[in-house]
Amino acid sequence: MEATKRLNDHLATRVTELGRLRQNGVKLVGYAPGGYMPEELVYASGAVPVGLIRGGDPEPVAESAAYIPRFVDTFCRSQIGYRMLGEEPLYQMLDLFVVPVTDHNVKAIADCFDFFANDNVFRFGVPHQKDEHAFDYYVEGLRQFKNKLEEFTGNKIDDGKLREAISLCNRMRSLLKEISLLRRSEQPPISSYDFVRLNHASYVADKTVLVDVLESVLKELKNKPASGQKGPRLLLTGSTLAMGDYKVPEMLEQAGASIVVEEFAEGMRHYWENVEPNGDLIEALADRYFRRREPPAWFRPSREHVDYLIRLAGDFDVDGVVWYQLLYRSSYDIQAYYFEKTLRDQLNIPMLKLESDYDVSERGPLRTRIETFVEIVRSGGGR
Amino acid sequence: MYTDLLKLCGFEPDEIERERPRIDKAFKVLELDEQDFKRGETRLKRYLDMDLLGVRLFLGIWMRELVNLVLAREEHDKVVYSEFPMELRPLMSMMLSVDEKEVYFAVPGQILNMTMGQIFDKLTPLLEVGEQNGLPPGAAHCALYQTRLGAMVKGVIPFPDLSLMASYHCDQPSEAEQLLQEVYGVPVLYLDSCSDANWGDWPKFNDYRVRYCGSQARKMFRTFEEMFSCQITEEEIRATSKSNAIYRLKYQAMTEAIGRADPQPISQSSLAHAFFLNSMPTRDVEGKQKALEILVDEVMQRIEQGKGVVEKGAPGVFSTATISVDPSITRMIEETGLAIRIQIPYWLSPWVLGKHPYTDWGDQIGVGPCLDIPHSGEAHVAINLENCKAFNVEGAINFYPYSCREWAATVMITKRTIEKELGVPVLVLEGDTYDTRNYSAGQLRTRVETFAELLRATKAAKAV
Amino acid sequence: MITAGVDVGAATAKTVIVADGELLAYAVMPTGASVARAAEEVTDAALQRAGIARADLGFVMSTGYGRNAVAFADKAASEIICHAKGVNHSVSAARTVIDIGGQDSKVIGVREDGTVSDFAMNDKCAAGTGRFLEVMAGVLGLEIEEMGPVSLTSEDPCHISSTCTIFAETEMVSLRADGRTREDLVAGIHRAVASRVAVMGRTVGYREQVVFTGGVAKNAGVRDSLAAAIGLPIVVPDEPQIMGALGAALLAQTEAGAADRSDR
Repeated sequence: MEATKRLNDHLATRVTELGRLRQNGVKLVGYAPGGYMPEELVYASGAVPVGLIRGGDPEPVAESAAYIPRFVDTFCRSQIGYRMLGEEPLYQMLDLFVVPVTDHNVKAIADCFDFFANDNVFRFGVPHQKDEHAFDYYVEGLRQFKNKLEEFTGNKIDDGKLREAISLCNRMRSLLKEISLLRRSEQPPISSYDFVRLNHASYVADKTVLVDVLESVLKELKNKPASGQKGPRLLLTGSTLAMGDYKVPEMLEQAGASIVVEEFAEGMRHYWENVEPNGDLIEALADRYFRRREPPAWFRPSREHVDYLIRLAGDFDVDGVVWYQLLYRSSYDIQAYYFEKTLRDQLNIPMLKLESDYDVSERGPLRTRIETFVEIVRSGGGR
Repeated sequence: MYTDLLKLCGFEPDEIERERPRIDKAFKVLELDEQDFKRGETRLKRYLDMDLLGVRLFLGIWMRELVNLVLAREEHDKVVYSEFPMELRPLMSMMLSVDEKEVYFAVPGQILNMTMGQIFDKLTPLLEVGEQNGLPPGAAHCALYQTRLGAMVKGVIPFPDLSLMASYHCDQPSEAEQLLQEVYGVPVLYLDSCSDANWGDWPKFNDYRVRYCGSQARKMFRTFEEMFSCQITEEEIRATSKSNAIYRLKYQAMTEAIGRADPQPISQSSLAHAFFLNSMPTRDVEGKQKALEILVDEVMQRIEQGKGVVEKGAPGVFSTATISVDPSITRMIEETGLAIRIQIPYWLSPWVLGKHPYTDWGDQIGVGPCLDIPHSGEAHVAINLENCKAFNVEGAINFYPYSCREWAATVMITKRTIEKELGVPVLVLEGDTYDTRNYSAGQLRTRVETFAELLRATKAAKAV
Repeated sequence: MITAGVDVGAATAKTVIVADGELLAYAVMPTGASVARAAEEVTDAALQRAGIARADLGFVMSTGYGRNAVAFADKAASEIICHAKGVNHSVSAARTVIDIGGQDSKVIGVREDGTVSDFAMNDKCAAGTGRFLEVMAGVLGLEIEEMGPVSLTSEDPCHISSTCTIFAETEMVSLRADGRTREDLVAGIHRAVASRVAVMGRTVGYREQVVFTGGVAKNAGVRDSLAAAIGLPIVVPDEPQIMGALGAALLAQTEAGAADRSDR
């Protein structure tokens, strides 16, 4: 697609451009993904948000062994590795690193960036349940974050700028949602691989360019004659789908399956809800980012997350679920165990659980499992 | 069969006779046989200071709790569980608000650890069942939770009617309890907070966090009161605070005396059973107070007499190995000629005893995590450092459970901080607090011996 | 005062005889199945070369994996402490020691006086040890001694990505089937070993002079890969395999001296 070529060209020079912006005094604010940091606040302060979602490479994981023991989530170790290896330009360019503290794996990233890299790190908390006290706590965290941004950039965040940012981010989310929903059709017009790359691009690209690209992509896809794969329809879910970690979606689609929807806490931007800019805008942000956001696996009780996955599987008419997670993410590991049972009981569809530690020698075994699973689903087995 | 062992655990012969039917029943469920009792006796005599009555009495308290735990379902109407890392103080106030016969409270993992683990070294059968039922090997699951789950699924201990758990300290326990809820229908109440303190904040904490956690504590209390048709009044709260305070302060004084004594008067492995009774909800409050008084007297006597388990003048270290289910690791460290002056989390550093303005019980619970290790990685490192400083250690042994992601994250940071601030060497040992299969004293010995030689050489060089 | 240091490792046993602070003679032998017998035989061999008898030894210090099974030793000491001492004697400017043995690898921080400041050790996993090299040599049909020279002719070392010895073996076989040359494969293996060890030692830190010891230090290919991995030049003492035994013998001199003094 022409639009994706435009996006790729943009991404190819994005890092250089960010460098130039920095030279002109614009602050770069990196953040740990998980979906709890409102980019809108960063834009409204005149800074540029960049999600740190690179992953899939074994070298940073190996590098992190000098800073943190092995038995912590792979993605988190990767971030520490990227930062300390010093080879990813984006990681070295950050002026501020924001970590919404969701679980203790993410907290480890913050601790290591603080201590070993001596970076400017700002944390605020994300409670693990959703009553009104939790909401108040999250709101307070956003207020502290807003103060920090204002102090850091020297710019006041006023409602006008915030509304503009909200409008732009809402537009991006709506477009991603519309594109994603096209995959409910019998022949999804866009592959998961392409959709995921668009979603990932949204963490780094200039939002205006991205929105433009998404509009073109949507238009093109709507007018496209039905031609997508008709293979077994899958929901791909798990803890983290990092930018660069495409082996599982690739192998699934090579095996003839069609991933029609993805659900990840980290790495994939959530696009289902938009901010409703009424009343106090900080509360409006909290309402979208905390109250209405479908929770990841570390919320208790986990019923809400399980029910959401079941709904998603139903809405997209999937034939099977692939649960792809990284090692040592206990919430996901344990949840996979009882989710599989729930899936069978409620929807009577099979699930494949895959694990990765970003080790290259995993490819062979992953492929075997994936090909076998796709065959099982294709022949109606597993039901 | 078990008479000698129980006598070693401070049981009087008439109590053994009286309780025989219950004990027989419980030990049968636990599949404890003659070999296990012999092994238990051998281990106790080998690793703990069994000539101290205080040590024996504490062992007895845990053995009684083990029997109570196994028979809980038939002897009580309802069973309530909790476990580390949940704040255990509220449990006692809940326990005192309900009838003893009706509701049984326990911290099952810890009970199994202290008895089946420390004494009998027989946790493996429980771990294996836990591994087969949702907490598989190879994923670094916390063995404490594998033990609990395994014991319940195996039918050794009852499934509870309610589980109380923290959902902020680390993911593992909270999700493991979700498993109990989803698969076995156990209702779970969570105490939530956030570990979002910024680096540089310590030791200050913010009111918002306390109030949030306090609100969750209050929610937990209200739900509990509804479920059990009871009321947690000022009386129960006061009784809890008072008994905790008395015990804690006495324990603290003993810890300090041990840490400043030379030679080291008692093995640190003998203190585990006393320490963990600190906040565990047991109805035998008198028993534990008495045992502590006796132990303190005996320890002070040894200090006065200059009696010790490690030679005088041995290099002093900070160690974190002693919370392990395997006392042989701590003994091994002491036998290489290192005096363990202090171990986490036995000593309450000044910050943890810090003053705060909260009077509501819920808020007092809420401030707990803000004053201690769970608050932040920075707090964990700082508390480690404070411990080392307070006892003038010549080295630190940071034994971390490999499957504990809260602890593991700060291991290297602690090492670098202590090396830099105090200029003493730090040995990092990877192990497992509850699972002896993969990490044993034998495996760790080379590193500890080397470390001991290193410290002795440094000490000798300084003396010249 | 004549002393002996006996280092019984999992793969080889070494005895060094020291007289008045200087190396007199040494012997190296495979450990084989019996640690006790290996210790006896290698010590006898060293004594023969020195031209002295067992009774002439004032103090015997044992070290290594089998140190507690050396019946005739007066004392046992950790191999890490002994290595540091031995290297310090041979290379006085040594501040970091990297030791790759048959079944383990260590990185040791050494002070000016030969005492240890910090250390890191891997004795759980074969990758990054001599065993790894042995397995790979077997796959390629090479003798261990050939590995170094062969690797030095490589111009395009393979990238071996498997972190596990067993899987790396499989990876090697398939790279061979793909037509990669022997020298590129060996160079790739050397790189893999070097990078495993280099990362492990980062907690200790690398300070010059960095000295490489253990049997594997005789492999020039691994040496070069290590130097590249840590970004510092590497020194190999003349007899890298006997550093542990040498250190033990030297420590024995101090022990014997102290024993003398306490007798008076």
